Amino acid sequence: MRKVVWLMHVSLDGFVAGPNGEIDWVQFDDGLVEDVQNLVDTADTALFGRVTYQLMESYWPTAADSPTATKHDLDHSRWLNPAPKIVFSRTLRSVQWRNTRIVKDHIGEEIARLQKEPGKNLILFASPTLGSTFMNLDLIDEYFFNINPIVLGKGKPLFKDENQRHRLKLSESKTYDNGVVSLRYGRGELVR
Amino acid sequence: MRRIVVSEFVSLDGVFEDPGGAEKFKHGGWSFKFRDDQAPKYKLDEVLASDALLLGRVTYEGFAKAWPSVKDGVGFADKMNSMPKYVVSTTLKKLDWNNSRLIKTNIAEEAKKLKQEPGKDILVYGSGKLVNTLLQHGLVDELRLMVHPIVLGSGKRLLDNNAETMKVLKLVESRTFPSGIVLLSYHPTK
Repeated sequence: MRKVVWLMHVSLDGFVAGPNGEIDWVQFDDGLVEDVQNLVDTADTALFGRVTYQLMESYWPTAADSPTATKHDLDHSRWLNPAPKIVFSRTLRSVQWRNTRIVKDHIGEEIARLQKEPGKNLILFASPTLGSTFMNLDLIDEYFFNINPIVLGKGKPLFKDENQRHRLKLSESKTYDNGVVSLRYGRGELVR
Repeated sequence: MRRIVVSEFVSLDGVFEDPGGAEKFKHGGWSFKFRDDQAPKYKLDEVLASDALLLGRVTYEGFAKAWPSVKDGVGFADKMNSMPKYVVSTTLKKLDWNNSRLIKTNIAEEAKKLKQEPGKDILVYGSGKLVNTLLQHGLVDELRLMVHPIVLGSGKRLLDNNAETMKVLKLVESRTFPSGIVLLSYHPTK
């Protein structure tokens, strides 16, 4: 069955963005970019919450056209632009990015339906609010958190609305040259 | 010069409250769900490389209640009970635990003085408020987080009020334990 994978870059103090949405502190190096790309390649469908979606929609459709586009820009554009994209939002009215649809409600049912269809994994990019909702609905099969060596002090927290304990299963940890540690977890049990 | 080493148990969502279960936190005792034979060895080596504890009041009071009666046969409890304890508090009147001294004011100055004395590492466990004060003053030489594979969803977070400045850290070690705990060890950059 298709797995739901959550990919997130996070500061050591558990923030995914600064107070004004800053993500310029997220560090990449070649090894990390390659591993992220390999993870993305296990999936064929992208999932987003509204805020992350809007950020991505403002960048990726034209990212590969820029003269300053990096290899990562080119590789990720090739995957992301044609891929089916689902944005979960009750307020978003329309989308400009191709092959995107809006799902307003019944998140658990939607994911269950997608998982029954043939295909590769479903990857949830960032989207901390939606990620919390997914966790509470126990929808996530794999977690891929890249812990950046920085303390932001304030910002938007990765975990904020989890309403119960989740025990996870560490599947791998990997340290990159730039000090990022990637922590990968599998589904744990709900601990009530 | 001696180093101040902050060593903490944290959940994946950064909660450090009551890993041992003595403080009546609703998720108290969460660290005991993860056991293996390597983490205790790591913690023992760490305490043996130290010769003082620097603690905030809440952590001190919990420790002072628990440790004097602990016997473990490996030397951990003996070390905890015998080594000097420096307690930061403006309200504490009586120090019941063996070899304890009170720091009432000028925390940063007192910590600097301790670092200049000869000796081994000065170890800080728990003590969230103190840790944030030490970090803000650039007095932490190493920050070790034992990240447990659990999301608690509530509780006090270790790095929650360190909001004044963004700090870039240098990863010096990461280590994975069989129970799924990952040690992340950092040097705050000056």
